[in-house]
Amino acid sequence: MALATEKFVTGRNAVLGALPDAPELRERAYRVKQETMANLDRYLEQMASAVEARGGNVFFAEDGEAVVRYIGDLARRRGTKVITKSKSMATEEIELNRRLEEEYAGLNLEIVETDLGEWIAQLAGDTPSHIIGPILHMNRHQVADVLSGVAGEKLPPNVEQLTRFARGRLREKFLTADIGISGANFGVAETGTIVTVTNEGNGRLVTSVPPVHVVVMGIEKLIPKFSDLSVFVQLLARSATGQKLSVYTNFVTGPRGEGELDGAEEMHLILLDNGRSDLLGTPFEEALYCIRCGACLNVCPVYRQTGGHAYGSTYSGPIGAVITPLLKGDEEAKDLPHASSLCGACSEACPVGIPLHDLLLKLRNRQVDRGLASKAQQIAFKGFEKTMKSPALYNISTRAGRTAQKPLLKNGSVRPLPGPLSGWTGSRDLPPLAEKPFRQLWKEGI
Amino acid sequence: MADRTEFIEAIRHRTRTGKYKPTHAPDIAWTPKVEPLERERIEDPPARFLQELEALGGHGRRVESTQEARDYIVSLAKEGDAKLLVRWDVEELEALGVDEPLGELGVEVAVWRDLK
Repeated sequence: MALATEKFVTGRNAVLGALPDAPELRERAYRVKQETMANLDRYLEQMASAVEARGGNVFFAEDGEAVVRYIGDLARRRGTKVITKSKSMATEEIELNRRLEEEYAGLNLEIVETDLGEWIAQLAGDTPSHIIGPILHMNRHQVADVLSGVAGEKLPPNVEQLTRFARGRLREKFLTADIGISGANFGVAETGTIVTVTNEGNGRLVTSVPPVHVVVMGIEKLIPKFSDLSVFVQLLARSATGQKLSVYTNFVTGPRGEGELDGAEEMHLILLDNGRSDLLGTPFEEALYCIRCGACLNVCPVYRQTGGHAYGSTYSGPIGAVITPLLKGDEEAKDLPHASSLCGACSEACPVGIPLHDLLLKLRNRQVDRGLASKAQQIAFKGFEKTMKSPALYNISTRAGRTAQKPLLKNGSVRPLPGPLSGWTGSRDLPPLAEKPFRQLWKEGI
Repeated sequence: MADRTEFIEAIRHRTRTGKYKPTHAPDIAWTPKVEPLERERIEDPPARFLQELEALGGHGRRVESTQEARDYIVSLAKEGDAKLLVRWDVEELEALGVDEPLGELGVEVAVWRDLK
């Protein structure tokens, strides 16, 4: 994880360094998102009208259940057997694959992820560990083992050979799919255009080869104008992988038109809420500005040590720690806002200016306000508050501390701290409280 | 499943009545560690393009006339012992007039629009 994320960070710094107006682009991206969220109702209507004017179908889905129903019923009507999917965090969020397979079991659907990493994770029965690189946690030997299981023979752990094998297998699926499901990196309200960005070309093959194309897009992915893409497309690849541009950037505006030779015959745009609109007009609204680049994951000291699976949710890293409790509820994701040192590296890395570490603090505050903090924590912080507000109490406690620490001093450091606090000093030196506090030194004229 | 009007109306309500309005991107320094690169002036863009293309493993040729372009394509077809060539349906390629000389070489030329 450390190697891969370091590579992303180094690449990002280099390509952003080549942009003389990077800070201005970021400010502009923030403003576009700010404007979009402030008028989201209007842009949703505009998007829907634009897509329908081009012959597409639009469905507004309150939650994952609605999406599963819509797609399942569509698959049934169309006699669908094979569905190909390009990478979509929104469909991961609502567990689309599993739910379609379970709730429409009678259709015997074969749902194939076509992003190489997602496909390998799917074959391994695993889940993605990074927004951009789903199998960052696997090495080529592990990948070879997974693909050997599919091949029915031992494949060497050689990247080129493994890729060639994957390409051959996936090509069959692309060409025989009945429905292609994609997400959207952006949806342009002005033109009804869906933009997908990939490095593998699977986005194009999923959206234009099958006769039916379904887009599942979070409502926050909208941007007002086509010209706004010049900001976001520049920022996305640079922030995500350190590329100036992804290998493929696809623009799909409606289904195949008259006289056009490629494109799906039928297109369905599903606009997914799933709790996103609850953030509008709240101190957490900026979490909706996320463009899913993964830059915050790559710089986060916690993520780089633990990896994505430790977060236990679709979205990991700092953005995951913010939006998971917001979308799923504080009770379900109580620990995530605390899985942070609040160093602020994520806020600094975010290309859209989301104040992630601020939002983590706000989530912690919210937990306390809602009575979710543990009794021990509540007591400890109440005590801290009382002490810090009272000079007399503060003096007494620091004097007591100076006395109490004496038996614990070893070579000028306090170690170990007693009882449950001993873990803190297991690998750290705790400096002792000064013999004389600054207030006393000041009175003595120093 | 949400009625479209209800869906949009719910969002409209939130955006109009929400108390919090984000102000501006956080004032956190966002300058990458490396200094911005000097932009070199490219004296001969086509030559530079060909150089970059060849560095990536591609092939290119700079030609002065339509005749030269046509001859290059025909020579590629001959070298590769091509049997079938597919080209885009665009004016410039029509005007290039490769279809006839390739036909004489025994190469079938298919235009994208005619493919089923």
